[in-house]
Amino acid sequence: MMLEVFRYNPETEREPRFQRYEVPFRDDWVVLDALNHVKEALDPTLSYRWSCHMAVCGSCGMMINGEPKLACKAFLRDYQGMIRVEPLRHFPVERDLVTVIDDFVAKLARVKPWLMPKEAPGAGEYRQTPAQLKRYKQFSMCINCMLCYAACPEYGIIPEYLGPAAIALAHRWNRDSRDGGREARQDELAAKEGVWECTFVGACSEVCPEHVDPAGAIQQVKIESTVDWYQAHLMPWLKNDS
Amino acid sequence: MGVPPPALRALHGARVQLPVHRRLDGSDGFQLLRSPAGIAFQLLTLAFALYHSVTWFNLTPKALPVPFIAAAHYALWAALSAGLAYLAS
Repeated sequence: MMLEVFRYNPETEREPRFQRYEVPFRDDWVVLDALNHVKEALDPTLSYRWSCHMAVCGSCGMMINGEPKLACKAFLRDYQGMIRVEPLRHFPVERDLVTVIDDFVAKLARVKPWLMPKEAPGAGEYRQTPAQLKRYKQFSMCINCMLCYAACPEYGIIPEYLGPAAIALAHRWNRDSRDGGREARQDELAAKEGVWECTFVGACSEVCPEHVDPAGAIQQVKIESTVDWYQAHLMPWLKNDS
Repeated sequence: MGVPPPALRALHGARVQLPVHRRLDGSDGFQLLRSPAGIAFQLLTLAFALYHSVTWFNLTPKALPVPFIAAAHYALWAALSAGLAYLAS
């Protein structure tokens, strides 16, 4: 099978180029296996991120035939002809298939994606019913692979946009019964570059490999933000409880 | 997700705002809309508006995971349409 891979070394090249590699076809191989074959047997200069090879670490996100995918989850047998491999869209290229992900990491930190306890646990642990877990479990499955950022046309046009994964993860904590940080996260989420840049295209949820449904999370945060705003302005004496 | 082109939606909005003043010859701003091309245009924009409404309502459970939320939107749509039809008759 033929791979057409984006190559770019900003230290030695002025412009990116594509390089073709002939790789063996194996029925159980994914694109990541093909890239590893290229690196081991054909061209050791090829650079790319990968780690778990089982779609849980989120490292190997890239554009495969124009679609944001995890290289370890894209099977060669599902493609015909040449496979075009490019770095994840909407992120600056550091080298070859490696992108600069600082923007996402900074945005993630801004939404405070950690437990801000409402109260101390009684008798040494927090108790949570299955129903309480169900409220946020889906949104906790995010592996920070950034495929949603590559798919989101708003993020492509407006780089300041907080983005699907960051918002989904903020929502995960807001919906956790142990957490009391909804107010602390509000400024980031309710900002113009927060949820309100989203126009519900839904591409983020389509490409998410973990079925997090960030689009749904964002719309839910829009409603919650609106309720919080009215409540803060009309009934400020009410303390908000998620 | 199948969103109709923004231009068509804008045109649909525009057709609602055409001038209504009556001219000296008795014609009004709706002359253009009554022409065959005008009617075809209205049918096209109506089709897109309906498609958008249906796909949009079908997505409401994503934003508000409450039982029968999409059905409630359709019910309200039907009630408002019925009310308007009654007023127009």
